[in-house]
Parts: sequence; structure tokens; C-alpha cells
Amino acid sequence: MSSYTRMGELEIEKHTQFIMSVEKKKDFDSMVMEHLRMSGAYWGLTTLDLMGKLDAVNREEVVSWVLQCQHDCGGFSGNVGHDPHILYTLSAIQILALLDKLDTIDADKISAYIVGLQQEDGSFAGDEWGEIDTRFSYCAVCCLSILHRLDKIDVGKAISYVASCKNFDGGFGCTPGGESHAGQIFCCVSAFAISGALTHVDRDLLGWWLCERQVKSGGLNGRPEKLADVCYSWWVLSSLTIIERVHWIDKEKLKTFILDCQDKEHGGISDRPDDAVDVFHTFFGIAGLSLLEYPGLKPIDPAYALPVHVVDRLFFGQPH
Amino acid sequence: MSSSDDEEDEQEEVRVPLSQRPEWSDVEPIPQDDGPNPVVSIAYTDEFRETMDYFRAVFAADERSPRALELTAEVIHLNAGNYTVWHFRRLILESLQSDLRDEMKFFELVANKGNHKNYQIWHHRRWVAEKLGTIAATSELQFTQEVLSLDAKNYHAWSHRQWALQALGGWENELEYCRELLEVDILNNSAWNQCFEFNVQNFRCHCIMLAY
Repeated sequence: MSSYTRMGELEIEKHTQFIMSVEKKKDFDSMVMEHLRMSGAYWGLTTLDLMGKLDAVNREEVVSWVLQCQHDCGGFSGNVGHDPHILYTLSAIQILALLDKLDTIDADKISAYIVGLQQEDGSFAGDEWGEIDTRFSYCAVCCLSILHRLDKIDVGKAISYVASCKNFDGGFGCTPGGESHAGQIFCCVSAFAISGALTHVDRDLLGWWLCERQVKSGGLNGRPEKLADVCYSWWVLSSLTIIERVHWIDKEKLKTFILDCQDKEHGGISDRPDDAVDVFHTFFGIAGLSLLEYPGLKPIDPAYALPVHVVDRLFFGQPH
Repeated sequence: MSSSDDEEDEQEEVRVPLSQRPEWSDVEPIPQDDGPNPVVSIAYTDEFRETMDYFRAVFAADERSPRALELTAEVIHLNAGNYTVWHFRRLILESLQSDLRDEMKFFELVANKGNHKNYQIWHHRRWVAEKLGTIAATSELQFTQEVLSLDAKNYHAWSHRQWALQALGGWENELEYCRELLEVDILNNSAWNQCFEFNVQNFRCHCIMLAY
């Protein structure tokens, strides 16, 4: 199916159509995404911007729907009619930052919601039900940083908790003692980067663990002896970029792997070649290609997971 | 979701639309409002749409009844990732003071439909196990062992197992379990990680003993 004699091309027009199309298929995948639509929107919109196609979207309608998902407590839910959660609060803020519409929200209210989720040991719960995971530490730090209110939480304790999740192999898990996993590593390393605490990372040890994720096909897996998956093109690559070890993998082979995961006929990218596509893997595949400096894509910030021009506007543009 | 299997056809025939069930005749379902031009809009089956419409109605009314509990089960069977329904189910269980040992059976029913990698169901299991306390110690280790026998690297199962060992006890036997897994697959990174964690826990125990 794929050609190894020349690199495939990135089908920007097809991927744009895939994201923009209103799915009329009544399939299982559509139903199971209903509650995390906010993240789906963030993945889709950010991908469009990376490809230079964000103008195809009606920004006012997006903002209107995002704001409908905000609750009185300040948090955002995954969709209208759902409960607030830190995951979707981050996705909502990322969308508003992308569209330059952060002036539509009360940053203090959202900050108070996130502050309320910090636990005694510095960790963060996802919501009032108390699930603890370093993913939520990243959500808290990233969201508050975008809102210029990182000082509202106990940053020292937040970082100490994340550091307590460091393992013998230099990686990080979801909770102390949890197995090192590329997705969790991205969350922890990015949280350190945003907070100015990268001294907690052993760059050579972690860099080695991360570059060992590259398998024969050129793709990246998330843990030793697991299958390659396009989403790790983001989680592994962004972590390597932050710790300045991205040259430890074979970038050309990874590019080829990601391009081979495209559905060149209908658009979209899948977890591995010839599987079904979805917006999640489309985003992470294109974000990975952006980190690999694929021509025609805007650069993406490895810690904020937003286009660099958006991050520049947040920190070097007009203050909110 | 079509199938030529006779059993599955029988199950599909058994489902009566909520609008035709007499016990739901007093409820006005609430349709989803996506606005005129939805972004990333999603197409739904009629079954999903109707079940969600009725769920929205009981959720809006904060109805914590046995029929509402059954309705949350129907939603969960359609979409086990719907975290809001799991939340509401917990509120109902608390209000009804339900026997949470039955909840464990419900959990296993959902998990065994291909949902072993779902964050919501594992968090729900932890909530139930916390409520049950030490009587759940054996069941949690047993259940995670069953899941790991199907997928020896399931991250959620390992995470839950570590929590259960920490909260409910049992670390002393864990190294033997890891040895068994490593005999099957010497490259099982999850089992190696657990070995390391066993040593950490063991070291902590010895330090505490030495302190006395």
C-alpha cells in the first residue's frame, strides 16, 4: 500500500475536508465521542490552523458553543449537558486562545475552579469525584499559564508531586509508582517546562527511554514492547523536543510512518497504516509532522500544544 | 451493530423504545440542542438519541430512583465513556444506599464488553472499592489479575492494582505474581515496573520496622 522509495505527500486538502465534514454516518465512533466533543473540537481546530485552513470555520459559532459548556463553578464540560472537568476546561481555553477570544471569559473564575482541584500533596483531581492523575497536573499548569494566573496554585507542591512520579528509567507515570508511559511523560515534562522546572528531568536518561520508542517501521510506541501508534508521534516527539534530544530518533523514518497512516482518499490519519481514521490521530499525526518541520505546516509549541504564533501572541502580544 | 448471530438478534428485538415503556410515560424527554450550525457535529442512532433524551430529563430533574439507575446502565452500555452518566449513577447509588457488591457485578458486565481501557469505568470501580473497604481487597486483586490475563500490560489495570495494594494491602505476595507474568513474557515492562515498586514498598516496610 505504501511506497518506501519516495516519501508520500501530506494531503492537506483531504484532511481539511475530513475535519470540516459533518458526519452523517451513524456509527459507533461518533456516539462514543459525544461527551468529549470539546477535546474533539480542539484537535480539529488546531489541526486546521497548523494547515493554514482555520478560516474555513465560523469562529463566532465555535465560541458561542464553547461558552455554553461553561458551568457556574468556572469549569467547562466536554459538551452541553455534561459535568465540568479539568480536561475539557483546558481544551476550552486552548480553543479560545487559538481563536484569540480569551477576552470572552472570566479568567479569575476559571482559575478558582482549577485551584479548587489541587490536593494537599500538590496533585490535581480531574473533577469533584477525585480521580488523581499527572494528566490533570498538566491541564492545571497549562491552563493557568495561558490565563497568566499560574501563581494562583501552589506551583512548588504541584511540581513536587509530578517529580514524585519519576521512575527508575527516567520516565513518569500517572501516579507515584505508575509505569512510565509516553503520554504521562508528555504531561509531566510539559508541566515542568511551563513552570520552569525542567531540572527535575534527567534529560539523557529520559531521552534514551524516549528514543527507544522508535520501532522498525519508523513509528513510535508508548512503552517498551508495544505497537507503534501515530499519537506517540506527538507525545514522544514533543517530550524529546522539550529536552533537546529529538535528534536521537530517525526523523525521516518517523515522517514516512505518519504519512503512511493517512487515508489519502477520504482524508484523516489513523493510529497505524490501513486502520480507520479519527480526528484524534489526525491531530497528533499532523502535530508530529509540524514538530518534524514538514513543509507547509505552521510550527507548534511542544508544551502548550498550540501553534507557536498563538503562544507568541499570549506571551508577547497584548496582555489580557 | 448488525449481526447474523441469533442470540444478538434476539437481544436487539428485546429492546423496547423508552417512549413505549409504561413506566416512562410520565417523562418528557429533552432533546440535545447543538444550535443551528454545530461545530464537529455528531450523527447518532435513534436508540442512542432516545436514551440520551430520557437521560437528560432525569438528570435535569435530579431524579434518583431505581428506574433512573437502570437508565444510567442503558446509557453506559451505549457509551461507557460518558463521564456525566457515571457521576449521576454514583449520586443515585448513594441516595438509594444500594448494595455496592451488586455494583461490582455491573462493572464487570460493562468492562467485559471491550471497555478494559476506559478511564471512567476504572475510576468508578475505585470509588466502589473505597466504599466497600478492606472486604474488597481480594476481589480487586482477583479482578485485575483476570484483566491482566487478557492483556498483561493494561495500564488501567496495573494502576488500579497498585492502588488496591496500597489501600487494601497485599504487597507481600506481589513479587511472586510478577515472577509468574515474567515467566510468560520476560519483556513485560509493566511487570518489571511492578517488581521495582515491590522493592520500593518492601524498603519502606523495612525502614518502618527498623524505626521501631
